[in-house]
Amino acid sequence: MRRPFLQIVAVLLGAAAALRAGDALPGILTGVPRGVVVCTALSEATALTGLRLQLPPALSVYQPIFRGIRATRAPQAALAVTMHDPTGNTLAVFRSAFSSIDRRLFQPLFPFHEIAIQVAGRPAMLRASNQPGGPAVQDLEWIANGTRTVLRFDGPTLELLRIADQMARLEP
Amino acid sequence: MAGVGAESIVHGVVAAIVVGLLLRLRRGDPPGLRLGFLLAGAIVPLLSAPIFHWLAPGRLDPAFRDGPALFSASHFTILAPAGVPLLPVSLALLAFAGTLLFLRDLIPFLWDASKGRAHVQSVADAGAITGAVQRAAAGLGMVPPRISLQSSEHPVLLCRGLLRLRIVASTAILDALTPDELEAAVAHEVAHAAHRDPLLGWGLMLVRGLAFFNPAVQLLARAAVHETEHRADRAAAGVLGDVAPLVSSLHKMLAAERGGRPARLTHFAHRRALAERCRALQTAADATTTAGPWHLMATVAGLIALLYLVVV
Repeated sequence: MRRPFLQIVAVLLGAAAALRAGDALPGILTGVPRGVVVCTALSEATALTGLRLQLPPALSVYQPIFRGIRATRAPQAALAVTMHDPTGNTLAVFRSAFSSIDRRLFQPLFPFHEIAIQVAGRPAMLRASNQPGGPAVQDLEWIANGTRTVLRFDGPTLELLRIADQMARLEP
Repeated sequence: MAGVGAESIVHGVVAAIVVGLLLRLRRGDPPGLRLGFLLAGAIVPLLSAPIFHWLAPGRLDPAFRDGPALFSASHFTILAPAGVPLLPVSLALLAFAGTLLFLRDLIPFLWDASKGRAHVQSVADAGAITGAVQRAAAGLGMVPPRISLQSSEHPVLLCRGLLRLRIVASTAILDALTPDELEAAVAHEVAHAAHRDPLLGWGLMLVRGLAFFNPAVQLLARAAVHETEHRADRAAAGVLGDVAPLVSSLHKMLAAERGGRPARLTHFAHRRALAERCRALQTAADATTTAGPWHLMATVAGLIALLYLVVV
């Protein structure tokens, strides 16, 4: 009596595990985690999340990378845009209406240096961290109108500050 | 509607894998129970998708797909190798395969049904077959079904009819089989009548018609038909107390079918099924713990719960 039941439970649990693994397959193949939506345009990401994001003229030379515009839906609505400039610097813009940005979009790094600064008159934090297996990056984070914005940049600090200033000034 | 169909295909694949694995693990279970598992595997995915869409529309919400769902086919929309969208193309290919499988069996099924109706002629003096039918019916505890004898040079012996069952035999079968083999072959057909398998066959064809696009349902329904043969074989062997005449009659029918006719795919599949039945009859069941109806119910419940968490 027990053995058939155990076999049924084992097969059903095995099928559940296989389905879960199969569901993770596209994420593994594309690097897009489960629940993250790849958008074709920034307007699609803002419509999906209800967040506003306007890119300043300073970013006109930056081009979104393949599958670089991503979003997570409510209740943890957030969006991320990863771009390259012609010299190869990578800039990622993260925005969320929550106290933290969804980990599927934004991986916090352990900073080796942290400093409080001002961006367009708003308090901000500038952190420098080492990416595992990658170049050192700087995260510049500020909150405006209840929206958290983080810029992650692997280029010069002055360029990051210039972009952040222009972005912050576009916000109401 | 397309979403329900797509989900039905995915549910069918999951159900087929679960049922297939269970049947592999439980080879020794009685054919009647194995048939129950196969029917559950074919019918549950046919009903689950429309019922879930109707009763639980929240399953289609992105929050469900990205949250509690075990598998969401929508996650595969991101995959487009060489610009070919993998998900719709895969689903379309599966639907095409399902339709081919359905048509492959529907056409011979309808042809066979119409041919049988046209040529059957009831006779009162079916001779040796009458006695065999009466003995088999007594052994199976049922009223003997009617007998129809066809004059044909091809050996034919089968069970027909939805509500009024009858055993149809050709005159050639009397020459082709020895009395023992005839007794065994007739017992097999009477066992089909005892289980009302022709009605089940039509029911299965209805299920297949409703899910004509679903390849997994088509394969499970075909496997269910094969299982009815195993069940009838076992019942006949039980009545006779010996499998040897039945195996011998199957071999003779196999040889008669081969007799100089072109090797078509359907014939090949049929021959393979007959060979598999001979093998199953000669292999004694050695199940130490046999599953029962409760296990079937537990599987259906578990399958429904599993499929609830599988969305498109």
